[in-house]
Amino acid sequence: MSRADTIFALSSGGGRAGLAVIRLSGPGADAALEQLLAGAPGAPGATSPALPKPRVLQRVDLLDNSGLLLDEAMAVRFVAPHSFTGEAVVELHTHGSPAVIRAVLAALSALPGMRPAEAGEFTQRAFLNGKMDLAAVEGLGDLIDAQTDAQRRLSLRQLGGALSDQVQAWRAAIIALRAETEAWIDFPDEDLPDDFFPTVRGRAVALAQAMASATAQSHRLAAHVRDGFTVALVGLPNVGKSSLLNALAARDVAIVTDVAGTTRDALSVPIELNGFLVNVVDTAGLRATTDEVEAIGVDRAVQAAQSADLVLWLIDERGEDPEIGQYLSACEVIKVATKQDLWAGSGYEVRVSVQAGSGLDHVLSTVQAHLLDERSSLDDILPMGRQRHAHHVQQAVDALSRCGDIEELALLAECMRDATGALGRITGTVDVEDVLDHIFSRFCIGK
Amino acid sequence: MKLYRRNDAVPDGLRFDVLVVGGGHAGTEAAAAAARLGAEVALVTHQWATVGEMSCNPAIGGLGKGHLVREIDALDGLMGRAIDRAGIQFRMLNASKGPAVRGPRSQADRRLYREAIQALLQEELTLTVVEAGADDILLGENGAVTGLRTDRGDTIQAGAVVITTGTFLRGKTFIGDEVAHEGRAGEAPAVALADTIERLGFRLERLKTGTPARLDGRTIAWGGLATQPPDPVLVPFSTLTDRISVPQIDCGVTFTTEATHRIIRDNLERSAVYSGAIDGVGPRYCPSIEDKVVRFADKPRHQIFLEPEGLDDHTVYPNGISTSLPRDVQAAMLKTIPGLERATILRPGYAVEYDYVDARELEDTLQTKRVPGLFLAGQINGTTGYEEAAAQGLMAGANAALITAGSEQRLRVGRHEGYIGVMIDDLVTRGTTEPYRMFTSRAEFRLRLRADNADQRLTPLGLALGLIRSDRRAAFHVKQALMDAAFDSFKNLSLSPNEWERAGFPIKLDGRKRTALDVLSMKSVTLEQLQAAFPSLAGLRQDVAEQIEIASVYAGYLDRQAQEVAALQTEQDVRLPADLDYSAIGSLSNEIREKLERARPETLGRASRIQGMTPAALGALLQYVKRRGEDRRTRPAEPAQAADKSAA
Repeated sequence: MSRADTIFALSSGGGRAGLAVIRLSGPGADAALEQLLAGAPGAPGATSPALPKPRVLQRVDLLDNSGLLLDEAMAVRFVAPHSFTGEAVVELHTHGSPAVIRAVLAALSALPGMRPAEAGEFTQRAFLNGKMDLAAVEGLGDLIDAQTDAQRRLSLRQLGGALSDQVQAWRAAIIALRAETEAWIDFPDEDLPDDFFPTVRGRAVALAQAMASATAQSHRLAAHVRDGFTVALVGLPNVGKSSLLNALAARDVAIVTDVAGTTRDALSVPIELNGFLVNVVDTAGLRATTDEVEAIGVDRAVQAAQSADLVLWLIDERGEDPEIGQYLSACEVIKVATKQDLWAGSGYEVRVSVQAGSGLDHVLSTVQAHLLDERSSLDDILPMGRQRHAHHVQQAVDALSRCGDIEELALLAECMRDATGALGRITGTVDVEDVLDHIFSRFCIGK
Repeated sequence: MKLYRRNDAVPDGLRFDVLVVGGGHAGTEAAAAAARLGAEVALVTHQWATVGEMSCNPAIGGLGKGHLVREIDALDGLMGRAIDRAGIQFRMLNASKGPAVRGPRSQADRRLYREAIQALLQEELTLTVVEAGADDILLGENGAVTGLRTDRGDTIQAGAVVITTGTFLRGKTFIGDEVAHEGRAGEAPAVALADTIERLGFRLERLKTGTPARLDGRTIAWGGLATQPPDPVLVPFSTLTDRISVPQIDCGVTFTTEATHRIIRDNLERSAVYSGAIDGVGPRYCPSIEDKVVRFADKPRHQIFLEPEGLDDHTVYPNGISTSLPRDVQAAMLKTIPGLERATILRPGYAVEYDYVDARELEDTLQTKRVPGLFLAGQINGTTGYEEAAAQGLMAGANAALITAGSEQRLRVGRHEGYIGVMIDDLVTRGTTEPYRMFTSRAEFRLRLRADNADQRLTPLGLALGLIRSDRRAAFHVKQALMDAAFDSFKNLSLSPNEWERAGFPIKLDGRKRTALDVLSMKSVTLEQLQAAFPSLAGLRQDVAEQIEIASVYAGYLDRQAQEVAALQTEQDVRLPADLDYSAIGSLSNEIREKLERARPETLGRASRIQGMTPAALGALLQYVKRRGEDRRTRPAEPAQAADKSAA
């Protein structure tokens, strides 16, 4: 039966390596290890070898079911529920050759009740067993996918509960407010204090403001860390956008020719800038055109520029095209003089010659200063990079803000319930018992 | 009604549709509901004279509880009509705090209440009362209920049995170190029946509750005490009651003192609750005075309401100081309370500990999953309070009658339809570890579930089943017609901002037409102003006018809740088959799988409310059920479509 399944998988990367880690999780993990240590299945009279003590890495010989040595390895056991998945877990640290890995996995497959894990199944079990909440699961996923240093730092904090803890703290504050409100409803023997509404409304609104400002600070940067900043390269055809992109990425990705108008689609190249992911978008040259295909490219270029966090407006000896200036009127723009081996853009702060290989560092440092200036303090923000985090917090903020002009207990409580419900969606579910617990711990209820 | 007294011979082979065991608030409602549906019912109780007894505090209603009484009344139950004939201090709690949270409450004259219940039962033609105790539940070869064996040794046959034994299952009372085996002071516990229930495989757990000493009102110094009067206008519980004619009285109010608390602290180890004699879990919201003194050590005093138990009864119930301290300590404690210095104790306070069944053993009809035809209602399911018990009794009795009549229909109330639905859903999906009491905060749709609209919410459900008698049916239809007409006139009066301004109601000149209902929702506008300006809106009956006002005040909120209800309905009502093999769903954790197997929730919505349930597990459940093609979307309140496994 599937629930009794014990799953296993190679948890380290594939390919040749010094070490490989194979993880087992489920009720049969210990029995499987026992089997690998004993070799033959339960020979009469044979004493089964002692399992390693929990949480102690121990050197072991792994044997197949005919007693032949599979590998000299290290094994460590975790006893349920004190493991990553909340189930019994065994990790085998074997030599990292594909042949060893294949042999050990095959031996595990042959054992009863064992099956290879499906993608994400260890984490899923951890989630189902309450070892991680939803935000932590997302953090783990992001950590595993992390490519930049900032992504690593932020997802590690999300995994560690930085977001969940804050959401729980907000929730607890709202629950406390709601409990105070509910107590006046469900235990009506005393009259409301005169300052009840101003006080509770004031606290609700203050909390809403605190949540909104923490979110405003955090979500934008966290989303940028997760999904990257976008920098669009914009300019006349053949102004050198693709060349600059290639130089920045230090690899040949965009097609570069001398024929003007070659880059028709917005093409994006991720680069890491001071630990942050920056997607540099190459766009089609902006010029009035009758070519239908090229016209589509121009439209896309304008769109890409307008949705970018920063636009690099590339300018060559032809000067600044006023039409482009109009397109970019609402964008954050840095003007970059290109082809500085051919002309002198002395009026420009940022000048580059890809041909001569000069000025690139200055471009990067200017971009970095624009994007990361004052916002690079990753340890101060909440790891709320996903759209849904901001969405649910916003719902909670809206609901709490509605408290501001309410003069009826039930409606006040209703808005607070909405708020906790929205926050609960970030980590788990909200429960009326939380409110009652709070009431009974704080209030002495008589009649 | 027919009555067999304890000494009367009961004819052999008596057969009924429904047997109800217990004559408390659950049992009487169960018997009456089954009878309203035309079933032949027998109420098995030790003593006809104590049927309808209020064993604890002499009051009905309160917050959440008053809502339940109105809902019982909407389903034509007894409790609302009985308290209207017995109430001696009517108060509308939270009157100033908004319509959604108003709760009617009244103190009762205990004798009048008992007599009112007994009088209402006597009108039931298909009801028989048998004075006996129930010892054994009889099962047929298919495992379904066939009847009861009584403590008189005879057997009574029935198609369904409703057990409503309150605190009597292995009941034990405690006064300090005095322990007695009784379900209520001086009355024998039900031990054989508890053994039977255990033998059938039900898990029994212990709960406790307590009651204060009863005082002789003639020895209380009322002179110096504050009083709590009834409301100036008495609002009845039942829509069938025109006016309250019982004389009204005041309650006294006093407080414990530091000296009281010192005596309690000095004698804590002599309290049955603190000496370890009781293991049952008590209610947090109705703590004993020992609990209050320990848990709220910084509170210098606790309020006590001195509630007379009747108009011509000098017994006084001191509400707020339930205790299981020894007699001498109870006496010493009272001497430190203003007004009670010379009060005589008529009966000491005591704690009672009793068995209850894990309500996750029940379907939402209150039929047990284990034994077809067996229903449980009231404190046996872990609840506390007369109103909670009565509401369950009504539901169990009605469903027992429907099942024995071979009907496909069931009486079910959704969480969005009534507090009865919230309570039963909470019980059957989560069970309870402390005595369960209704609170309005348990209802997510509190703004809809008001005490003032219980009839509109639930009477139609009763009408569809034939549970409503003709007098209420007529009154309901009259009110409904008046309501429809009133809402029509308010919605049909739709004017432009300029037209409103000309009528004396300045509103934003945005060119948008507004109805009279829209305009009434503005804070500055009253119903009287509108009626004065537009004669077509005038002349509303009081209760109809009230509904118009509430609908306009809550309009935005009610709309949003209606959307929430609709959204919930689609997924929540995916029914989970009773024989669902949870072990076959791969991605459930052991803990959640065990919880699901224990509760066997009937819908996905119920599953979602099980404690510790995760969104991921729900997703897995939904996927699995959909794959199995078992996805029958039915509304719980339309029982005709619901599969029932146990009727056979």
